[in-house]
Amino acid sequence: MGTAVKADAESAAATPSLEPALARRRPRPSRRGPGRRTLPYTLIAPAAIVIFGVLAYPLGMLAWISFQHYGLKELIAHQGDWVGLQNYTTLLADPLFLRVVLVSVVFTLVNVGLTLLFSTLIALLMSKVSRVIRVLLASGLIFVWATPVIVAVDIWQWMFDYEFGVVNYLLTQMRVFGSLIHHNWFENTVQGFSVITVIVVWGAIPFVAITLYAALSQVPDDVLEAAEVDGANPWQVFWGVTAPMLKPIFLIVTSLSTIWDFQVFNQIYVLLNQRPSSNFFTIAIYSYRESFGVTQYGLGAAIAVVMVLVLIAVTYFYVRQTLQTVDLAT
Amino acid sequence: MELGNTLVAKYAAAGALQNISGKKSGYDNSGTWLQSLTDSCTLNSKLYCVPYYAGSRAVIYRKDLFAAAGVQPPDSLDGLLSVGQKLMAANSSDPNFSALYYPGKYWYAALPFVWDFGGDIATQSGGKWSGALNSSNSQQGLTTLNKLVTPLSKADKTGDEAKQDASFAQAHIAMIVANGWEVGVITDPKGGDPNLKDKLGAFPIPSHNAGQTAPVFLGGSDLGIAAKSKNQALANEWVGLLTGNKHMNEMATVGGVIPNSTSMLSLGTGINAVFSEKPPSPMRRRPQVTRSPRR
Repeated sequence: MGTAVKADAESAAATPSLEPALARRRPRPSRRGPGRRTLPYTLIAPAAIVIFGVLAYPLGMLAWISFQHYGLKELIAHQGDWVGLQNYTTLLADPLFLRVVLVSVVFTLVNVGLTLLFSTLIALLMSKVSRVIRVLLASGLIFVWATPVIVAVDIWQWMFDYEFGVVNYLLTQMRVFGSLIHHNWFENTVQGFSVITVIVVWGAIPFVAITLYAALSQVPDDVLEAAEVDGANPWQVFWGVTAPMLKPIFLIVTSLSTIWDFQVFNQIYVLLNQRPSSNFFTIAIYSYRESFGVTQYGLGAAIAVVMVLVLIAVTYFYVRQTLQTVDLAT
Repeated sequence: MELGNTLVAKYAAAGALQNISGKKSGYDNSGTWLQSLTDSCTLNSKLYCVPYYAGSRAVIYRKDLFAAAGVQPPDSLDGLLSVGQKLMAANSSDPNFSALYYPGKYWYAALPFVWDFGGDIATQSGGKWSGALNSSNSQQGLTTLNKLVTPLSKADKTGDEAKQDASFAQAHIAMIVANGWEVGVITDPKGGDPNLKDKLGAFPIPSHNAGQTAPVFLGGSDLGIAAKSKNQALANEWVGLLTGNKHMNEMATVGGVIPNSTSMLSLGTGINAVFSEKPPSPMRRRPQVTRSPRR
């Protein structure tokens, strides 16, 4: 593709007229015949098969199992009992499930909000500082991104450790909150979720910040200068010029962050030694616990289906907005 | 396959394990298997596995710290509390010191207290199980445990027992509730401290009735045969070998666990003997069938 464009450019440079280059791109009248019609389908078949195999089939099975009573016995016999909507009615009557959904939604809102806030600030900072500092900042972000989640969470766990944690030690040395030696961060649910939020936001910032920085560098300088000449202060320039121009990117990173934060699992599961108490259940952990902890696969599948539905409902808005923005742009 | 004794009932009921009732007499010592492990293998009077080994918990303590504080291993729960308080007083200069290190989620070690006061996890009546941890007896046991460990333990209340041996080796702890094999972990040159080897002692968890010991949770493993195994005969032979006399001898003398037969209980020596000695009545060492109380 790249070479073709280059060849076009060269030929365009060689001959003043653009006609030959454009003519080559024009669609030719299609030849008739069966081969012509099946070719596109043949070409997309491999991708379609892969997508069906890794996405549609498992999702279909998940929905199928969610209508069955499927425990250990049924797993061994490869045969579940059809119970219709019973798993779903059980869930809706389960106060723990409703609490878990609420916790997941609030957690997602807070985490997406903080991720976007800090990422935007870092992206703006990167576009203002000198080249050396920018490279240092970008390297730091890449290192965070390159750290495997499990390793990172183990280190965070160590830092917030009840007995030997450096966080408790440093906070005590700062003499702001009094002695925090032997302070347990996970006795209180809000404090525990704050620690989890720090870890999740820390891990999410690099991708969003670098993406936003890349988008920021595409905002034309002359537009910004024109706004400044017209007397806009930096705050007005950001909200009036930069933000609207970055809207498509903001929509994409917001919907991706929402998906990631709503299904957060590794951070909580590893941080709490694979035995999180129900106070720290998010919807993904609850589904896993019902499925693999107490072998109620049908119920676990129903929770996962609800999770997918909530995600579709939440991201539908973003995806629609993104598509509309793209339509306007082309 | 090897299964934890609390897991057998779940898999046997689901049809995952071969019914081996007819082969019982072919295994070594099948007449003297530990009763509670045999019970863990039995569902509706059918045998689904062979007892492998057991482990029970006792208190592992530091003899040197006891001597320095001038205390002896106690023989009642009240005694345990006062011994702990004396240890705390003798080590008051160490802010990290725990006389009895007890992580909050260590439920295996909480059960002796529940049972000692007549409580239970769940009770069965008319084929239906119902949770019994909220019974007044169970609550009395748990309240007693709370009163005991709150002043004596600096352990993580939301943590479990996974780190307790490593913590014990750090020398800020006088007592832990532990399995016999954990002595090996504490004195391991890599994760523990080999110098503690001669300083460790053990005593059974005391009952609230002075002079008696509390009933303990008998953990352990059983060997079963997968119902869908294509090599039933080979699997049967393997189970027979591992649970037979020769291998059991090694497990008890080298491995430091309780062997599967009462005829071999005397094989544990030194500190291990405390973990396999027959406690005075009431003998309530038994496995519990874990059921989710929510359904």
